[in-house]
Amino acid sequence: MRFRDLAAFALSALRQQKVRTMLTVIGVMVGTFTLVMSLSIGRGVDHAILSLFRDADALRKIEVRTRFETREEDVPAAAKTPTGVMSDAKRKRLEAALSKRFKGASPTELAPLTPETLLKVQGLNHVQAVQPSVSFNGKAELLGADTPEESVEVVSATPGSPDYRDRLIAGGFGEANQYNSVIVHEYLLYRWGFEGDDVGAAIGRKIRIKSEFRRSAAPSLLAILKHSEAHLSDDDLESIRSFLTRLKGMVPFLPISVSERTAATKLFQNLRLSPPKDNFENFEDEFTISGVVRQFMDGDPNPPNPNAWRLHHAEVIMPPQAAASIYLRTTWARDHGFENAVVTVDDEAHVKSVAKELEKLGLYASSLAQIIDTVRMNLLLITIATTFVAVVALTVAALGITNTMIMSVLERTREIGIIKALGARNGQIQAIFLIEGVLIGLLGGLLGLALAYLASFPGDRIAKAIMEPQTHTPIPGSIFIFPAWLVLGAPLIACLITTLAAVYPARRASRVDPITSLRHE
Amino acid sequence: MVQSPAIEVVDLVKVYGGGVHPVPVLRGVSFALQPGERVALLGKSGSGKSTLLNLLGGLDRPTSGKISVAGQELSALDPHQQAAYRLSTVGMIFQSYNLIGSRTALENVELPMIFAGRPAGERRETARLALESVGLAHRIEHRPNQLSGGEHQRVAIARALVNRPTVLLADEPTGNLDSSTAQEILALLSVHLERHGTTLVMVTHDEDLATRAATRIVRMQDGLVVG
Ligand SMILES: Nc1ncnc2c1ncn2[C@@H]1O[C@H](COP(=O)(O)OP(=O)(O)O)[C@@H](O)[C@H]1O
Ligand SMILES: [Mg+2]
Repeated sequence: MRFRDLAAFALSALRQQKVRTMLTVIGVMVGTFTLVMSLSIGRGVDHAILSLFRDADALRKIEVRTRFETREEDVPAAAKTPTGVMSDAKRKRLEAALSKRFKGASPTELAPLTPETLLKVQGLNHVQAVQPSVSFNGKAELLGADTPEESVEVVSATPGSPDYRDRLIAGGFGEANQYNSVIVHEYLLYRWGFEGDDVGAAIGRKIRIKSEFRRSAAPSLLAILKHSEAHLSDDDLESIRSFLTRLKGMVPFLPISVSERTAATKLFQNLRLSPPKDNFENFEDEFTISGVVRQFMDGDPNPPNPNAWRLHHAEVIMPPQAAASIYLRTTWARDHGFENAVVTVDDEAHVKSVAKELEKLGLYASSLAQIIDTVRMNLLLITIATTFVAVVALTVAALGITNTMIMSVLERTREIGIIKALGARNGQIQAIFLIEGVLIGLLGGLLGLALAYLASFPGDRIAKAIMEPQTHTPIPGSIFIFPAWLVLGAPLIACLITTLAAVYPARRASRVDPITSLRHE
Repeated sequence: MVQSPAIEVVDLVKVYGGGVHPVPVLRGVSFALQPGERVALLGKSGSGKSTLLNLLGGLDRPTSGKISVAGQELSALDPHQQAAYRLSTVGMIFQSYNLIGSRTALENVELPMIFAGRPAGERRETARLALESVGLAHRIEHRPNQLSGGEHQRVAIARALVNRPTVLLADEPTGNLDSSTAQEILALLSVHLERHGTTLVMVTHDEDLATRAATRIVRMQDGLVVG
């Protein structure tokens, strides 16, 4: 018997039960539709996320900050040894509690982001560039004018960085001596009287920036011990203050007698630890305006990195070398280094390993790549969940098919008996019913796929209307993508499931006893 | 030259139910038929005639005993060969015709040829000729519910003979027909069987018809052949 004839049998059976066939096909169609939509949007959103960030080159960047943490090995044994007689289990618990308390009371900066640390980072494998970012508040004064001083936020930016470049309305860092150039915000110029559109007129004007930094409170016991009291500088006093603050916190943990502890506690209760009056350092520098940026507006490209976000508010943008040289003059920077730095890795694939190395150096590393990994993992989980729902829908449709086909086997018992008596083999009868399953799956699967494709157009518009206000960036391409594996796989899965659904009815059909079904009634 | 028998049945036993309440329906039936013989199987209702016919038709297997048809020992056939046997060695017709209601006369006659794997064009032509030869040239595209009882049985005969079986098994083929139609059907059957030397085993309880249509009469009673 030919396959075509078997298929013709299956087809004619489906045609005879038009309504029933239609309902089962609709079931499969809905299941396939859900499956395709879920996988398609899952892939599409993933794709959109990646392309959104890949364009901005943000996936190769890692932001590093100093990490405050006291390592377990740095907790003095005396500070975490409980006194008294107790069980081992309790001792262990108390050790944990004391150690945690100690760490909380005296966090240590593992590796300040000093120029030396940055050099170490620069030396790591796969690190292309390290750019400390500096931002500080200061006062800006336009020289040669009697306009007032303005409070400004100064932020460093690599010349030519896309983070500000698109907002340039005049000039730029260009070839000019980058050490002395700054780009200013149009609003700052406005406040200084540049009201017209010709902001370019400000280029070449000089400004003075007064910066203000809080003094460092780094502990330096050695320094104090080396100097006589008369030689103590402001810094030294500040250090002592800081040291004493910490010492106060450590009193409960010090390996001292009860009476000593009581005395020390009393001493610190009465000790004034207010900050010294002159707690700030001031610097003044002159710069030449070499460019003007406009106000950041909704809808402007918004690459997702902290430095770019800081630049949105910057009124003065300074090349990194200039900003760093101002910053590094402070005692704070000398001890603590930079607040953060951006590490550029040669390839996305190495971001994780570089981040690990940075953590080993005692730095806190956060990268979009890692955040996106989490986002993508969540997306994957959601996609798996919706796919699961779709598969459940398909399974329900399949159970419907099984049910319908069992009924049709019962109705066609006599017909099955007749063709058996005429010489049909059990295998052929099974095949007829399995082909019915395949046909239902194929039809429902293809219709579901087509429906999903049609629905993706309005779906894409709706999804983008929801997403774009949050991403601030147009999403390229469609949110729904239909890779070849999906287009081929979805109808195939539908077929597979409906064919499985037909297995039981098919076996039942092949087991029909011709004698019983043909007996004259 | 001694011809080998078309059908040889030796000590055939069929017990239904097995287990707790066995129902012995055939209790040791033996006979042999020569090619071209036309046998009428007579006997009261419940004497085991249909059971015997179903065993001969390969629709069921005996409890014990031997059946050979056209030199094939039926109990030696695997399910595949058994299907092939039903397809080409025997043809069967029934009291209730057993046409498929959703198919036209032509499509019903085509059925056995489909399972024989013959190409569609050839099938249609052969089926058309078969229907013409039973006098239904004008009913080719009709469905069973548009045909009379006699016409039903003509289609069934065309279908049973279309694969040129060596044996035709008929279970009360005229049981649902009036006597004149019954005679027409039997006459038609005789013509076809004689033309190809087909052996016939026909169950009936009409003595008159039996003597007219058969070359030999076998009587059954309580699962045994009695004459
Ligand atoms: N599947 C079966 N199970 C049990 N008994 C059966 C079965 N088929 C037939 N019989 C019994 O076998 C006997 C013979 O039946 P059958 O061959 O149809 O007789 P006939 O055709 O001579 O009227 C009857 O008593 C019937 O009830
Ligand atoms: Mg009977």
